[in-house]
This record gives sequence, C-alpha cells and structure tokens, in this order.
Amino acid sequence: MASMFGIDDRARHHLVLSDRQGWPATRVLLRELADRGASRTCLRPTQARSDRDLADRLGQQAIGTHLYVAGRAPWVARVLRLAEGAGMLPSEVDAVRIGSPASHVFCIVCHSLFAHPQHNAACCPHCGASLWVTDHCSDRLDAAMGAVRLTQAERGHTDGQAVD
Amino acid sequence: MAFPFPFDSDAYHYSNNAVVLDPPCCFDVTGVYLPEMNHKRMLLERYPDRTFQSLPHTLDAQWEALGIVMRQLATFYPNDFGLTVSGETWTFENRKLKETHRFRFGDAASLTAEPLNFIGSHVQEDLILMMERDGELYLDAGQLAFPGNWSIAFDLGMPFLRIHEPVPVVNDSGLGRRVRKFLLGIGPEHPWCRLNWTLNAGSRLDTSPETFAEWGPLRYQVTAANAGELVHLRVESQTLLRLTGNPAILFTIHTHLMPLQEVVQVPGWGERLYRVLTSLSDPLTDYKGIRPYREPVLTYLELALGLPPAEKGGRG
Repeated sequence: MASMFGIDDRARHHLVLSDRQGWPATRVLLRELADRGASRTCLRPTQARSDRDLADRLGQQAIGTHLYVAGRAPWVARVLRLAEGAGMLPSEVDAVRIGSPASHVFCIVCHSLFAHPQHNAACCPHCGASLWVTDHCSDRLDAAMGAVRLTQAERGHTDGQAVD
Repeated sequence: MAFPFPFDSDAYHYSNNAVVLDPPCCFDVTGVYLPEMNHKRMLLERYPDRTFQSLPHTLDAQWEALGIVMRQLATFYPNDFGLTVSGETWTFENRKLKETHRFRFGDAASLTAEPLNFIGSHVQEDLILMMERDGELYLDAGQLAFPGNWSIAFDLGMPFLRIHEPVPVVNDSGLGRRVRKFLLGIGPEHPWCRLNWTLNAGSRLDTSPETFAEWGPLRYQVTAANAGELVHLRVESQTLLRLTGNPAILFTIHTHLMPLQEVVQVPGWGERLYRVLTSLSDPLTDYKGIRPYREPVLTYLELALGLPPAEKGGRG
C-alpha cells in the first residue's frame, strides 16, 4: 500500500501524528521514512495528548521539521490550528483526513449547510436539491461541497432516478 | 485581442504556462463588451451571494485593486474610460456605458458596492484577490460572474492548494506547490498571463455549479450533427498582478467562447483541437466534463475537417 502522504525530501526531521483512525495511514508513512533512513518522530494515538501538550511539542520542533497529520477531520483541524499557533507554516504541514472530510454538506444550489450524511448522496433539506457529496472541502465552513446530481432523464436515459 | 487559442502543441498537460504580460494591461475590452457587461450586471444584481464574496480584512486590498483597474482602463483605453484624481476625490468615466462615478478613495460610503465588486461591474473580467500570509495564498475576495464550474461562495477563504484539489494531477504531481511557489515569488514589476481552457456544451458564460441543472444536461444532448453549433471552445485568459500596498495578488479571468463551427474555419485550429482531445488523459477529460460528449465532438471534427475516422477504441 502506498503512503497517502508525499514525503517532503527537503525536511530535516519528520513529525508524524495520528488519531486512532489515522494510524494505518501514518504506519505506512513511517515505514517509508524508515526505508529512507529519515529522521522521524511519531506520536501514536495511544499516547493521550491534551491541546497544551500538543502545542508544546509542536512549538519545540526545530526549523526544517515537516509535520504529517492523519485522522478524523475535526481532530486534524484541531492539530492544524495548534501547528499554526506554534509557528509552523502551511508548507511545512501535510494532512490526511480519514472518513467524513467535514461535519456538514454545503448545498451548492441554496448555499445552506446540513449535517454530513456519511455517504456520497444527499437531498438538501432546505431546497430539496438532489446532490452528490464531493471530496472538495472548506475548513471555513467545515463542509464538503454538495454538487448537483442530474437525473437519468437529464443524462438522456429514460427513467428519472438521480444518478452519480 | 483576437480569440486566444490555447494550444501550442498536439498534447495538453497542466503546467505553469505563465508568461510576462506585454503590454501590461490586465483588461481586454472586446467587441462584445456591451452585451457581456449587461449580462454580468444582471447576474451581479440578481445573484449577489453567488457572484461576490469577501472577507472583511480585504478592504484595503480591494481599494488598491480598484485604483489599479481604473488606471489601467484609463491608460490603455483612453477613448472609452477616463479617470481624474483630485486629492481623495476620484472621478471615473465609463463612456461605453455612459456613466460617471465620483467617490472618495477609501470611503466605502461613497461607493455603491465594495470596491472590487464596484470596479468589476465595469470590466468583462472576473476579479479575484489572493491574499498572502504565512507563506500561503488565500482566496479572500472575489467577483465571479462567469465561473468555469467553481463557486466563490464555497471556495472563499481557501488556500491555493485546497482550491485546486479537485483538479487531477495538479497536487499529486507537485505542480500545485511549484505554481504556488511561483505565485509567491512574483513581484510588482509586471503582470503575468496564462491561458486555461475547456469545452462548453452551450454558449453560457455563467457555468456556475449553482446552476448546473440548467446547463449540465446539454452535455448529454450533443450529437455530431449539432456539435459545431452547440459545443464551444471555452478559453480563460488569466492575468496575475502583485499589489504593492497590500500582500495580495489580483487574479483576473476573461472568458472567451468560440463555437466549434468557427474553430474549424481557422487554419490549423480544428486539427490541433482534435489531436488535443484524442490525446487528453482520462482524468482531465472527466474533470473538464467532456466525457459525455467527447465522441460526437470527435466525429464532428473528423467530418468537418475531412480527417480519417479513427476507430473508437483507438482515439487517443
């Protein structure tokens, strides 16, 4: 299985963080880093970490450290905020979100937000639009974009069920 | 500017194809200025949430962008636009639309809209402000009346790489990072320009994802018989200009459409488009929304140009 991360070859040190859901992704990354003989530290999901503890560890990182984060979207968002607060630049951080990328879906038709249905099709409860839930996510909105699903008739088929 | 044909080879791949813009004017007032501005203003008025978004901290950069746009219009199109500056009082004339606007620079109350939204209602280009902070570029303000299937209401506030996540190859290959590095490095000495392209089923400039139900079905109605009229080559002529008073880049997008029946009239264009489409990768064909009507377009081009029909499995 290939790593979901791209390794930053310019980094002097690699810091890898994950929650329980993100552990499989970081395990692959760690193997690749080990194969390259790269300097690395891993904070495993079994190690309980408060925000203060995480912030301290991130703040202690030397210049040239690249951070890799994998886990549920809300947890990843929390770590990214802590990393930014610790002075890490966006170019020094890579993140992989496991499972639902966001808590909400943004209906592209009426611009309203509703709870993420945990699968890739949805009907907007506000305007009734038939949507498919994309992987395009907004941290500002904590939402995945719900794009318009065409019916089979609109795609030139004879029955009217929504497709895609 | 003549129609900006986007292909300089028979194969297309995403690249950092930006070049220095010369002359350094980011705006192109074309022969369809009046109908396009009427259409744009209708969209801005009727669908404000879809066509303009901004974060509060962008106001200074918006004013700077407004000043740049007005000066460029007055400099490069002196017959159509005029600008008089007396202290903080600015008078902007749009002679094509027969309008004169007097306002105090920096005073939001003296304009009828936020600065970027105001000046955007005088140019055919869509105007985007990418704000720089902490080594990243964020889409923090923009007027987008003619989107190529993306939403400023959704993308507002997004960093550069996240905006381009849906684009195949760009981030996986590292191209996104290289382009971001290039953008962060451009200075104010001169603007840059590049071309982007896709095909449109239909002649709409406004192909917003919000209205996909209106224009998306046309993709499934293309035939070899109607492709010449229905399908258009859609080209975005984009410019990038570094602001000097604010950490921002003004990104402009001028969208041009040409129906295939006109493309094939220009020597060499139809053949090159055919070769680009036959060699276009599957991910790009899907991302650009061409998949549903690729075959009838290729058949149309073969017939219009007298090309030998390729076997269906052998195209590309």
